[in-house]
Amino acid sequence: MVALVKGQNAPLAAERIRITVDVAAPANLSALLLTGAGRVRSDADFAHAQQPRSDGVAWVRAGQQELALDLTAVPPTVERVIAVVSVDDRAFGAVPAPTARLLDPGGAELGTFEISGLGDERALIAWEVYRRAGTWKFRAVGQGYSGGLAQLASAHGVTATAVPASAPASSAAAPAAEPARSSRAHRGLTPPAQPAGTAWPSSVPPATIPEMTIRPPSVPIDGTPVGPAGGFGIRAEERMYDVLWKIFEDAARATAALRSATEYAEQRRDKEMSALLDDPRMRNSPETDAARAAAERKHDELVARATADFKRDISSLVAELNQLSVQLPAPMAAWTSPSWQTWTPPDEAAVAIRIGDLQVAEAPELRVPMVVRMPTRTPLWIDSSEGRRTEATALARGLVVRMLASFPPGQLKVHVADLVGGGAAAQALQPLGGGVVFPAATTPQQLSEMLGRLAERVDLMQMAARADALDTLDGTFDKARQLLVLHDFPYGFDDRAVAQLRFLIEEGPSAGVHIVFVADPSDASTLGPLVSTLWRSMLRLSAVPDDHIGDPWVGLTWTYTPDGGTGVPALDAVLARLAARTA
Amino acid sequence: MSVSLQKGQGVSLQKRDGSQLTLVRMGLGWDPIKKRGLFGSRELEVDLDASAVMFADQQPVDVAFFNHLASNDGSIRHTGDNRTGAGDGDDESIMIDLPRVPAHINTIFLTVTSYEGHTFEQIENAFCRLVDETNGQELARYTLSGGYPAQAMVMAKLVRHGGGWGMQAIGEAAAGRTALDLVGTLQRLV
Repeated sequence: MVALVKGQNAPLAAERIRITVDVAAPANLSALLLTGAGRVRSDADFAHAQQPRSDGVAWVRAGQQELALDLTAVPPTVERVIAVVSVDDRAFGAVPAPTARLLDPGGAELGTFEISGLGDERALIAWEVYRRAGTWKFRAVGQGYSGGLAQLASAHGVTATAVPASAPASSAAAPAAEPARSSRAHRGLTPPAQPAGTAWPSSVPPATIPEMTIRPPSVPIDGTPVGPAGGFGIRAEERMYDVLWKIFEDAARATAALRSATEYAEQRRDKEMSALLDDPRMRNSPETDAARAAAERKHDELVARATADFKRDISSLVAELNQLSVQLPAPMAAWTSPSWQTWTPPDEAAVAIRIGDLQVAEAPELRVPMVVRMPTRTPLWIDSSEGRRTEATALARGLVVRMLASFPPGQLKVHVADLVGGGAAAQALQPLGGGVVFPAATTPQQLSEMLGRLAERVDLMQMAARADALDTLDGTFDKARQLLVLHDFPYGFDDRAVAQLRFLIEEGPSAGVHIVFVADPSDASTLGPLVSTLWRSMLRLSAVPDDHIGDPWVGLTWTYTPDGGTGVPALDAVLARLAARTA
Repeated sequence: MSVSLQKGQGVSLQKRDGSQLTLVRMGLGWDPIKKRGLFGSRELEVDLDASAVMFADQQPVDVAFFNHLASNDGSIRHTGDNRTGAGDGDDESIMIDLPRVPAHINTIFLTVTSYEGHTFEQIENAFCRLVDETNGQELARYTLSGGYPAQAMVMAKLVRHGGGWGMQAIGEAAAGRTALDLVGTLQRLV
């Protein structure tokens, strides 16, 4: 529920809504359908007790009077629908402040508006539901007419004879004189929150920080640029990796520019509208209508310019991305890219892999590849909560194949632990054999041994590094990087296993041990605070498209669409080729 | 070609062929007054910061300064403490991608503030100049003469008019350690 103040607006997600107004006196509800000129097309656009239906609007009596709006049925030439409440035998100033409610069909409140500070008004515009850039919004208006419903209706183009008979008392009593608002009533009026004060500075992070802010790791994990052997190729890949992040940044900033301009346009219009509504001398005059139209026009012009700039920027980014996408090396390319058709095992480890796409609401045509540097510095976490175990496992499989394909043969080995699924996750990687994928851990005992082996390996690497004796590790020691894919957090994970896991998360990456979790975070809570705090450092990947990624520049929310999944022919083909290579 | 501006004077910015500018660089420079003290070879160190503050009408919207090097929309980028290496001595530079300045922004202020609280009495030859970054040509320059007992200066503003931009020299003293402190002053100067 949102309590709105006079002049405030809010987006409207629902297409069917109900409107009620609580007044402590006999009152009538009605609605007017208005064109861009602020007038009805004909008297048929006035819905009230005697004429309960207009296009998309129905007047109903369900206990109390109510307006039911079906916005999908509102004709396109109707720009806004105003909901009006009127009283016959007294002024609103003589009764407690009415409360207008905007409800969804189920009765949940989408917005409430206490219309306070009223004087001799007999008819009020409670809500305005209006079109904005292809969507609907609603605004708390609270503009009053001392001449009652007749004056309000005729101000919007309704012919006098079409005003319902229940209202004649008020129209007869309508004073011709200036409908001055008493100063007593005025004093109670709280002006809408001053947006200028809250907008500054916009350079601080937005109040709603997305769940996971991703950052481009600019330096490879080993701290030194990857070896010179494939020199040019690696440099070209590095450049493409940088360009992809630059495109991401430009898209974020272009969207921020659009949002900033649009918000400013709305805020300026609302401020101007509120000023019109608050000035008693200006109410009910043709000047007000003209000023209102001018405010709308200024708003629309600014939004149009900002939108044109945005479209220009986005289409240029789309073109750049299209051009780049055919050049991307397979690990950074979509599974549908031709580079997977011609993929051969690389001589050098790839710079980065693609883990999905990112989109922002305003530019669905732009799908920014989300690429992470290989090998990963922090664990990837694939969220299998909310019954997404199947999708999460499919995403994990795709990422493991990408990682294997991004390393030269034999330089990445995979350990799968899948206690809940009984090793099904490892079977999904068949026909990859023993040389690449170790036998899956399916019991707590096997998991404990697996963690023990990996922890021991990290220990060894660290000791050798401290002694400056990495060369002495030759021989039986496997220098390939090790990837642990840990599915679920089984109950009965003992303290020792927790400690080893923490050790692997923190120390593993620099010793060539990397982790992908496929887990429901609520299960991890059984492992205690030590592990659950580690979630925050991990990159969470949803198994299905989800808005949870924040960009590091302006903190917009991006929709992440996972890479691969099931039924991707190129993925299966590459898996078969990887298996054939090691067979 | 460069226009040397006087306080309050304005100039419309365009290329020689009359077309609109795209990428411009605002260079700001200053010299500490040479003071000889006990350690005579040392010059007074003055830490000045150049900033760009973006306004939509009267409302401050964004700022590019040492603590937030790029405006959120990315159209204004402070190059940080890097010196350009140019012989004409810009100490700090702010790049402005004019076509990408958001539609609602119609004024961009260029300010210099002294973080350590030095006043402009201890600084000489403060200037700001606008360079067409596509060809390196200086478009306008405004040199502040005389010492002001102020900690901050509003040097100039870029103002949107029609489809293009103009520059106006301001030279107004203000108080504040960073551009964020100058907002009240700037609102009056819009």
